[in-house]
Amino acid sequence: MASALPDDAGRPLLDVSDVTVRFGGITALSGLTFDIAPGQICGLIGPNGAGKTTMFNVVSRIYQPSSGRVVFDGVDLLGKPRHTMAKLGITRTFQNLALFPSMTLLENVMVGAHSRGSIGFVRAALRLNPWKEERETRELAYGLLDQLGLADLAFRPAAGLPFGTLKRLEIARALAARPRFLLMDEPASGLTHNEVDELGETVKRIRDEFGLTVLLVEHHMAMVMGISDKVVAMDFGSKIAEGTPTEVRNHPAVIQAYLGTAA
Amino acid sequence: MAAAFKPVRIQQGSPVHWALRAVGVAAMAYLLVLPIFQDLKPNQYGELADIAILALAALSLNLLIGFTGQISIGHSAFFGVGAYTTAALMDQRDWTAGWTFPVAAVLCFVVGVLVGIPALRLTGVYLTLVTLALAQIFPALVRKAEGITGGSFGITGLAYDPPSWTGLDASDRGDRTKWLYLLALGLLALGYVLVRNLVKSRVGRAMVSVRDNTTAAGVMGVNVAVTKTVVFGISAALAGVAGSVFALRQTQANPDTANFTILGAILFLVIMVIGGTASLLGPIVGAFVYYRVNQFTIDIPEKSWLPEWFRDFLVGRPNLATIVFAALLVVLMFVAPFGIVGLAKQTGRRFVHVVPKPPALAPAEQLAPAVDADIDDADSDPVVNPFAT
Repeated sequence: MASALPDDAGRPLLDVSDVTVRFGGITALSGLTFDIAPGQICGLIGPNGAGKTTMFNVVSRIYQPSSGRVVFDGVDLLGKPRHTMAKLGITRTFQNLALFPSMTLLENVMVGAHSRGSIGFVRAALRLNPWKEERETRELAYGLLDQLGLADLAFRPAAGLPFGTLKRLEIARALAARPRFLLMDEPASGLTHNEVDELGETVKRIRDEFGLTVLLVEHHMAMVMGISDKVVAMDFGSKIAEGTPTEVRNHPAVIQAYLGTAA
Repeated sequence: MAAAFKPVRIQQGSPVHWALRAVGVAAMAYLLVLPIFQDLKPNQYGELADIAILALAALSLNLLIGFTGQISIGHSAFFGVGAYTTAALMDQRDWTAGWTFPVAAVLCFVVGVLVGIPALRLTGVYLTLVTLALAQIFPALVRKAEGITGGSFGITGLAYDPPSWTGLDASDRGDRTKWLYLLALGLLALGYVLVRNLVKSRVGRAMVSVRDNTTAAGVMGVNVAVTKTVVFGISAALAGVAGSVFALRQTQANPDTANFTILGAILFLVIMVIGGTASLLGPIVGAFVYYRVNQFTIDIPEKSWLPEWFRDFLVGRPNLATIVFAALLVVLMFVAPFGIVGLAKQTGRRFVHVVPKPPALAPAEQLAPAVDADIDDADSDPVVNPFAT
């Protein structure tokens, strides 16, 4: 499938080169290299423990790799603090939900828009004309909730809502930063069959509507293969295959990683 | 019986809702301002001033613990720094008390930030231990720094005459105490408005997000380190100002004063929890209830409605008052785990349900999957991107 955005002189949006992450004696990622072109949906697959989530945490600056480079749109990410990622246009969803349970759904999404706001301590404390920004943030957040079918729940606290609902809330919150690059960590896990189909459509839709590039970690093969423009397969912290869904599906190393070698 | 009852639904922002809010604000203002015109006895004004001081200290703690999730049991130290700043400036530099408040606030802010910076690497119980150390060190430091603090003797003879514009008589004991109440009330109101403004803003959402999920807050672009340290500083500044008024109310600053030791920090914490953690009005309600209930338990031996033998038993056993108070606290935590304000809100919701007013929204065709939508189209859509110009 053609990418939704013109390829900016062939430069990848995200360029991961030779990234190694070690936890004590364990090497979670060893020399991982891949890149993602603008507008692509890139699926990252691999058996449990392959290092997919570690890769995610490197790009969202939660883990610091021991070596390697991660360049996003010409900016070296590894020199930037975590809270600047959203401003650069990188947001993510979490595998096991990382929402703000005491806040309402609307407030959760408004926090997602934090990087777009400018009201600091002094302006907030003295109420120096916060109204316009506040209203715009509310409208943005509510609009996103509406797009993900959550508007009716906007004023309910996130705590106690069904898992599938909260997964969609995570997407709405991540979109509130108006990102260029969205990382989705196992968005389909814990969802019902119908919800997974819907999710696949949602991911494609938001990619097109918001002009996103998406990196997707997912175990749900049908979904990954169905929506990805490109798939990177990992095992034991290294890349074992890369290409279109069909190429990767038929790659011997991938088959071996998932099914084992013939006896 | 209660199941059959349906709460009254009120649209947020409707005239009824505004009227209800106005009644609430008026009732509160009435309760707080009423004593000014009541011509109470000096000790009654003194009690109200004490309540306002405790409320301000608990308010400062609520900003830090309730809204940002950093547990401090060292706020007695900031309270003390504020008190000693006022006392020392008045004693040694002959400052008027009023000018010492901003100095105390700034100094406590700086100390708070300095404590907050190393605290960044610590969370939960480890941070609490650091603040515990702070609470323990403070009285010892005060005793050591004799040149400034007067050592173990402290600083005595602090007096703040009511300025002439208040129309209060500086030689009348009642008017002097009334002035202190006005002062404490004014600073409490200022602190309340400040905290309320912060909490109900982008910064407040950042604070709560740090409390609820620090990692996610960082990923969403919240600068966790700045949020935590600045909130620590603001909280310390508010506690310091409370300490400043406390020194004036006590007319002295002495390292043996319970409020400057860890007992003070625990007291502020108890008040915050009684009133309602992460509730704006909680500390004020909590301080009032704490003060009255504490007074009540102390006065129990004098209650004429108790049997004679029981009163005889209580006389000379002041610890029993503490036990009664502790028992009441335990009961309260069972009945109202979210404090008195939390309980009141919960009860109120059974009678009145305020329907929130959703923000403006474009027509519902947004809901349909727009797989083929062009990116430029999406950008020009007012709902998808209200920031686009």
